Amino acid sequence: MIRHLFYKEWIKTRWAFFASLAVGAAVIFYIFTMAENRMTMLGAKGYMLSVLYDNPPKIYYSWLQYIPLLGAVCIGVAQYVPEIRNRRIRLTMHLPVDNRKLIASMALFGLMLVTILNALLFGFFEYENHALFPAEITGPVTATVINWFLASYLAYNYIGMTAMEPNGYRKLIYAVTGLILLSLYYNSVDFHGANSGSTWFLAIIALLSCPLVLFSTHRLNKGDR
Amino acid sequence: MWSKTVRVLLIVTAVFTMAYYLPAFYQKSVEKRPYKTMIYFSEVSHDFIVSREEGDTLEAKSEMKYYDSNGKELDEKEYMKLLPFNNTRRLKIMGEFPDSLNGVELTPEVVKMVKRGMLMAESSYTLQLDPLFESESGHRGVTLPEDMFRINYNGIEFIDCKTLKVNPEKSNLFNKALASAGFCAPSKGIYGIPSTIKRQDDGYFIVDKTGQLFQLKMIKGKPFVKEIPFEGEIKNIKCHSSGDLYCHIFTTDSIVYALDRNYALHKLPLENVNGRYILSSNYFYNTYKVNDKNKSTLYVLDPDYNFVAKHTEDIDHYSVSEEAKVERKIFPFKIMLTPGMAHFIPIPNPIKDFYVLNLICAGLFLLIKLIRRRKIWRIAGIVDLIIVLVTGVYGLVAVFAFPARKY
Repeated sequence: MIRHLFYKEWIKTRWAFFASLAVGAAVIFYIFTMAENRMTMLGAKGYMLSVLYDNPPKIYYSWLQYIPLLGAVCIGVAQYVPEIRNRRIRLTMHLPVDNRKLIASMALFGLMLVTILNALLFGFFEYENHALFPAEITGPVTATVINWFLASYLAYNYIGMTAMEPNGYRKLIYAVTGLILLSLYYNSVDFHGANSGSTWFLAIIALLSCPLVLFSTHRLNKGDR
Repeated sequence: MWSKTVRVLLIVTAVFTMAYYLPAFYQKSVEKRPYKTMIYFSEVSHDFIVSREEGDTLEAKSEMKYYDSNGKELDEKEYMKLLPFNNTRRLKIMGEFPDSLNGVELTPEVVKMVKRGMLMAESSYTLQLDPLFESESGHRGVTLPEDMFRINYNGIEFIDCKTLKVNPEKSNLFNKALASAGFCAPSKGIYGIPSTIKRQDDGYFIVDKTGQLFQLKMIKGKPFVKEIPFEGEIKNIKCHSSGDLYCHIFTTDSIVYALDRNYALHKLPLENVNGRYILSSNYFYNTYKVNDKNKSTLYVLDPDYNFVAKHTEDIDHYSVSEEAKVERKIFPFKIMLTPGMAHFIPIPNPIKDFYVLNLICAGLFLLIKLIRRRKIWRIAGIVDLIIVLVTGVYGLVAVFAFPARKY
């Protein structure tokens, strides 16, 4: 049954996944094409010095900032919005499987898809980054961009929780709390390695947000309004 | 049970976000621009001069008033004449700039010796990958090399910026010079001015694995390494591209040294140098202004960095304002994000400041429960009450934003 559920989720989300992957890959390609272009125009040594020591230094990867978030939002919306239109989720809830297990499987599928998307984009970014810059730059850059990838998990979980919530007032409260929490992942980057100190804390918040969708679904199942 | 746990999780999340945003929003909406207080040391009277901003900063109707060390008010012209190096241009326009001072003729060379700068005890952002410039290029300024160097467990490595490949010949040459000077790789810190906007290059000051200090330069393509005997653990080095000093050295035990161009170390008689401070020097004096949270101290040293005098003034700061007192009464704590690496740090306020409001919040919580005829002394109610008692207004908002249900 769970395998069939996964297939249903895949049918809903595949285009969102591929579109996010294509946009993400295109943005990363653009980032490094621009970096290579600057190296050609300014000379590798001049560009490297501006990346290292301009005040503020050249944050050549700033376009990546909202790409993981965009992917998670696309997958989350594609997965949950069809379920809440005309309360179609109730059909799923009548399947002969424990509802909690059912919703947890849905959320797990979505999180797996977000993880695969993030892994592919992160791998592509790191590959290109290591090809152009030395480890002294790539290490701190990775530490900074990780927070942006973590934000995608929080966004996905809050989309699930907000979509499944039956009460409009609570939907609003969840959405506002989610947006405020999300803002913590997007502090200004004044240097490579910025915000790396908060990564462990932001990872815990993202991890703790995983079961939230079960809470809303539980309330939906109980008929709360 | 698990749904109650998730509810508590949501409440904790809401408390965290409120503690992060609300105090900052409160401060932004009520704080005034602090009044400026400046301390100077006159090269004419050899005494302190204090300037204070007075008036209403909110209405932009403030003006600077000037006082000597005895509290006597000075007019602006007197103030400018007492500080000729701070007001050179205006005094020259007025035809009041002196020809000589303390028996020294004020030639353009003497006037040019005026230097000002900001120094930080904390090390600034660096990725420990730097260009090694040619120090004796035969022309003014420096030229950016094609490679950059780092010092890791393999010793010094010169990396070509385009290919990212290590240049083994150059690396070996410099490694031998470093080893013969007693340098132990890797480096703990590389300090210098990695910029092409400077008149001359003095190389880099590098702390090795054992904490010993070295200077590394490139002269006519060859390495120049000099060991600088130094006691203490180095926290940061601020280099200067001109003047009589190579650099200021900050140690972990808050001592500051000045290293002059003859490699002589001067221990500076400064206190509380963990933050930032402002250096100002001229032919007659070197002054260091150390800013604490709500006080500012000016240290005056002679050209050989010996103590002459110091003066402390209270300065205006949000933390000592009435608005800050109200903030401490409303919010039991706030969460801040440190700049740079960005750690979330909770900053609790003194319990004596906020306990009254927390008790009022708890009373309000009980009253609302009673009016709604809800049972209070169930586990969920007790947990809510504890949250409100501990977190005050944050908790009160959070427990009603996520109300408990019976299931």
